[in-house]
Amino acid sequence: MENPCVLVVDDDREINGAICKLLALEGIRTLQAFDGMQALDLLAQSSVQLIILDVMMPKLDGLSATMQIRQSRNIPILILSAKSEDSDKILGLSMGADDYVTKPFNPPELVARVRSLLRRYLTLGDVQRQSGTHSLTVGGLTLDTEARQLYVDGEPVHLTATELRIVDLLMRNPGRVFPAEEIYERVWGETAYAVENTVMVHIRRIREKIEINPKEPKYLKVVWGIGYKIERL
Amino acid sequence: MVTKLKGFSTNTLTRAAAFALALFFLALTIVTLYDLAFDIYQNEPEPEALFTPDYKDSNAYYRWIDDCLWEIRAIIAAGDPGSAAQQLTDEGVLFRVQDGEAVFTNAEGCSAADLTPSSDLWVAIDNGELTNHLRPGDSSDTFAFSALYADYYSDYSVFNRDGVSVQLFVPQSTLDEHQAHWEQSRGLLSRGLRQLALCAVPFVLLTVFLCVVTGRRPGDDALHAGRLDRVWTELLIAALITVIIFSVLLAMSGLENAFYRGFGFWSNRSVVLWLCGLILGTGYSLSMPLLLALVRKIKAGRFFRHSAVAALLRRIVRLCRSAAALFRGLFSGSAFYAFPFAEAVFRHRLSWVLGSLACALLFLFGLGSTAWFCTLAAALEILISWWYLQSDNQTLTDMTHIVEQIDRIAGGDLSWAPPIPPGSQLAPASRQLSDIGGGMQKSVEKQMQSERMKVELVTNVSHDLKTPLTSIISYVDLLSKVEGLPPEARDYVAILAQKSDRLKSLVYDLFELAKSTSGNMEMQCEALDFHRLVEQTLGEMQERIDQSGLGLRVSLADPPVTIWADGRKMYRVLQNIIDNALKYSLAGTRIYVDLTAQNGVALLTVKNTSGYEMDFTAEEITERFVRGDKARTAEGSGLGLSIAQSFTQACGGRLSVAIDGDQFKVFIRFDLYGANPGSRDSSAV
Repeated sequence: MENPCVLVVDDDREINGAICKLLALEGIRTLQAFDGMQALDLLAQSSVQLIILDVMMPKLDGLSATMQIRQSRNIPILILSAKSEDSDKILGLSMGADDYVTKPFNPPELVARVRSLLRRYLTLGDVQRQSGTHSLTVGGLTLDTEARQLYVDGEPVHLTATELRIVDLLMRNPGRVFPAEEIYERVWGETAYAVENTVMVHIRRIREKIEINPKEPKYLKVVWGIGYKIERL
Repeated sequence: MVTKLKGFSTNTLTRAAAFALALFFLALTIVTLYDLAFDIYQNEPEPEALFTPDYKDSNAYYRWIDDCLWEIRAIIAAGDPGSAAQQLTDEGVLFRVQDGEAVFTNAEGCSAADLTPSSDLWVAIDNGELTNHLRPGDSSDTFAFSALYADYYSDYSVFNRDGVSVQLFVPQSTLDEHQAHWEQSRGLLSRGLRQLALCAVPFVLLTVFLCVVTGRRPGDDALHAGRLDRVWTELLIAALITVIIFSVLLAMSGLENAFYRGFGFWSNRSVVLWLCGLILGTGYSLSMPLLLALVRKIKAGRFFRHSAVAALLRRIVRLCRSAAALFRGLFSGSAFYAFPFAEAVFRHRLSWVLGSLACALLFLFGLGSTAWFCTLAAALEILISWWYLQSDNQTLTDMTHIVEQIDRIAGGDLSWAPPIPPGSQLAPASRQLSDIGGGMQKSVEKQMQSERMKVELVTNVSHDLKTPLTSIISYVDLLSKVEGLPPEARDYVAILAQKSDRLKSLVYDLFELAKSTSGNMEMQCEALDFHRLVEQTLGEMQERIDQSGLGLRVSLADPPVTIWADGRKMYRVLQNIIDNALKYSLAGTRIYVDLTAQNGVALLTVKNTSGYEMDFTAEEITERFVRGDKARTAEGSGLGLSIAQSFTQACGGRLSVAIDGDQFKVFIRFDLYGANPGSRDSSAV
C-alpha cells in the first residue's frame, strides 16, 4: 500500500503545520489548504485519502465544505474544531463527517484517529464485503461471530470470553441501553445483585481495548445513571 | 402664694374633702328642708308674710276680704243667709246686707250706721257704688278690685242691683288674730329659710368649688380630661338629668308619704331623713361626675363640639360639601381630570337624559295642543336615543379592544394595535398601552441581545484561547519527538507538556462554568438512577481510587433512587467531588460515600478528612477559584466545586458544603423523581 495522503485544512498556519509534521512523523503524506475553497480545489486536483477539516475558516467554512465534498466523494472527513459543544459535534457528524476532534487536541490521539479512519477507508472496506452473515458491524467495529474475533478498523483485538459476550450483546442491539443487571444476567447467566462494579470493570477494560481515547469513548458509552450501550453508527 | 393655693385647691385630698363636706351639707339641707316643710305642712304659713310685715298691707288681706264679699254675694243671690252667713261669722267679720226690704246680717240689732266705725276697716256698697273705708291715710285705689269685679264679672252683678247695700265690718280683734298668725308665719318662714340658706349655700359653694377645680392638677396649668369626657355631651346631660330627677322624685315621694300618710314607718322622722339623705346623697354622688365631666368639656371648649348633634351636623356639612364639590366638578369638568374618559360618557348620558326630558315635555305639551308636536317629540326622542346608543356602542367596542390589547400584551403579543378611531376617548389609553408594549419589546430585545452577546463572548474567547493552546500543545509534542535533545531540554519539554495540559483543562473548566452559570448549557435531563450513577462513577474512577491509597466506604440506599437530571453533567459533578476528596484527603484516612432516599429527597453525602487545615468557610470554597491556600500548589483548576455546584443547580438539585474541623462534607440533594413516571420515556436516550 502506497503512503496515504491527508489534506489538512486549517486557516491557522501554525496548527496546520504542526498537524502536517505530526502526520509526517508517522509516515503519512500531507497537503495543506488554508480555507474551504482551496481545499475543494486541491481535492479536485490530487489524490487524497482523508481530510482534516477546521470549522471556522474564511471563504468557506468546514461544515459547508463537508457538505460539498459529500456530494461527490466518500473519503473520510475528520473535523477538528474549537467548538466543543455536543450540538456542534452532532451537527458536524450529521453533515457527513466521520470523526470529530476538539481543539486543543491530544497529538497522539489525533494521529491514532487518523490512522483508524485511513485503515477503515483503505482496508476495512474489503473485510466488510468479504464477511458474510457471520459478522456484526458497528462503525469501525466488526465482530466475527463464528471466529469469536473482534476487529477494530480491521485490526484484530483480543478480548476475554466475558468481554466478548458483552460486546456481542451490545453490538446485536446497537443504540439500546442495557442496565448493569441485565448485562450481568445475560452474560453471566446468574441473578444479579450489586453487580454494577463488576460490569463497570469489564466495560472499562473493553473500552481500553477498543477505544482510541477511553475517556471519550466513541463506541462503548456509559449512559450515566442508566446503563451502557454501543452507539449506533 | 398663688401657686401654693392652687396646689392646695387642686389636691385630690382637698377635693375629696370638699365632696364629703358637700355631702354633709346636703344632708343638713335635707334635715332643714324636712323640718321647714313639716312646719309649713302643719302651720300653713303665708309666704307673703316674709315680705309684708303688716297683714293689712298684704294681698292676703285683700283676698280674704274678697272671699268675704263672695260669701255676701252668695247671700244676696240666694236671698237667704244660709251657710254663707255662718261662714262669715266663723271668719270673724260682721256684715249687713239690705236688698230692698230684706235685711241679712250676723250682727242682729245693728243698723247700717252702727256698722260704720270710724277707725276699723269696712267695706260698703250702695247701689253698686263702692265706698271704701280703709284705714285713714291709705290710698283707696289699692282696694278697688271688688268694685271692678262688680263691673266685669256677672257673678258680682248682684251688688249693682237697685236697693242693695252692703256693709262688711272687720272687728279689730279679728284683725289682731290675723296679724298674730301673720307674724308667726313670718317668724317660721324666715327662720327656716335662714337655716336652709346656712346649709344650702355651703353645699352650693362646695359644688361650685368642685366644678372650678375639676380638670386641674397641681403642678401644671393644663386641663386634664377625665374618662367620662369622651361621652357625648347629650348623653352626659341626659344621664345627669335622669339621675337628678330620679333621686329628687324618689326623695319627694318619700317626704310626701311621710307628710300625708304620717303613720307607722313614715311617722319616724329619723328614718325618713335617713332614707331621703341616702337617696339624694346617692343621686349627688352619681350626678357629680357627670356634672364635672360637662364642666370640663365646657372648660375645654368641647361642650358643643363633642356632642352627637355637632357630630351629626359636621357629617351632614361634610356630606353636603362633598356633594356640592361633586356637582361643581361634574359641571366644571374638574371631576374628570383623573378620569378623562368618564367625562365624555357623563356628558353623553347627561345630554341624553336632558334631551329625553325635553322630548317628554314637548310630548306633554303636544297632548294639550296639537298632535304635530307629539309626533315631533317622538321623532326627536328616537333620534336622541339612537345617537346615544350609537356613541355608547362605540365606547363599548373601544373598551373591548382595549381589554383585548391588554390580553395580548399579557400573552406576549406586544405589537398589536387595536382599531380604535383616533378621535375616541380611549385612543390615548390605547396609545399608552402600545407604548408600554413597545418598551417591553425593546427591553426584551435588549436582554436577548445581551444574552446572545454573552454566549458569543464565551464562544469567541473560548476559540481565541483554544487556538494558540492547540499550537502550543502540538509543537510541544513535536518538540518531545525531536531526536538528540540534551537531557535538561527533555525535562523542560516534559514540564511544558504537563503545564499546557493543565492549561487545557483549566480553559475547559472555565468555559464549562461560564456556560452553566450564564444558563447557556445544553441540558439533556432524563430519569436516572442516582444509585447506579454513583456506582458507575466509582467504577470509572476505580483506578485513581486504588492509586490514592485511601479507603472508600460506600453505603447506598437500595435502587432505584430515581432523580431527574442530566447524567453526564451529574457524572462530572460526582467525579469532581470524589476527585476533590482523593486529592485533599489525609493519607491513610477513609472517604465515606452515603446515599439516602427519604421523605422524597435523595441525599448524597461525601465525607473526607482533610490533609490540610481548612482556613476557609463553606461559602468561600464553592466560590470560583477558591482553594485552601495550603492546597494551592496541588493539581487542579480550583473550579471543581464551583462546577459541581453550578451543574447540580442546572440539573435542579442542590449542593452544599459543610466544614467541621478537619471533616469536609459535601451534600447533594435531589427531589426523588417518580411522581410522574409518564414523562420517563419522553427524552430517554
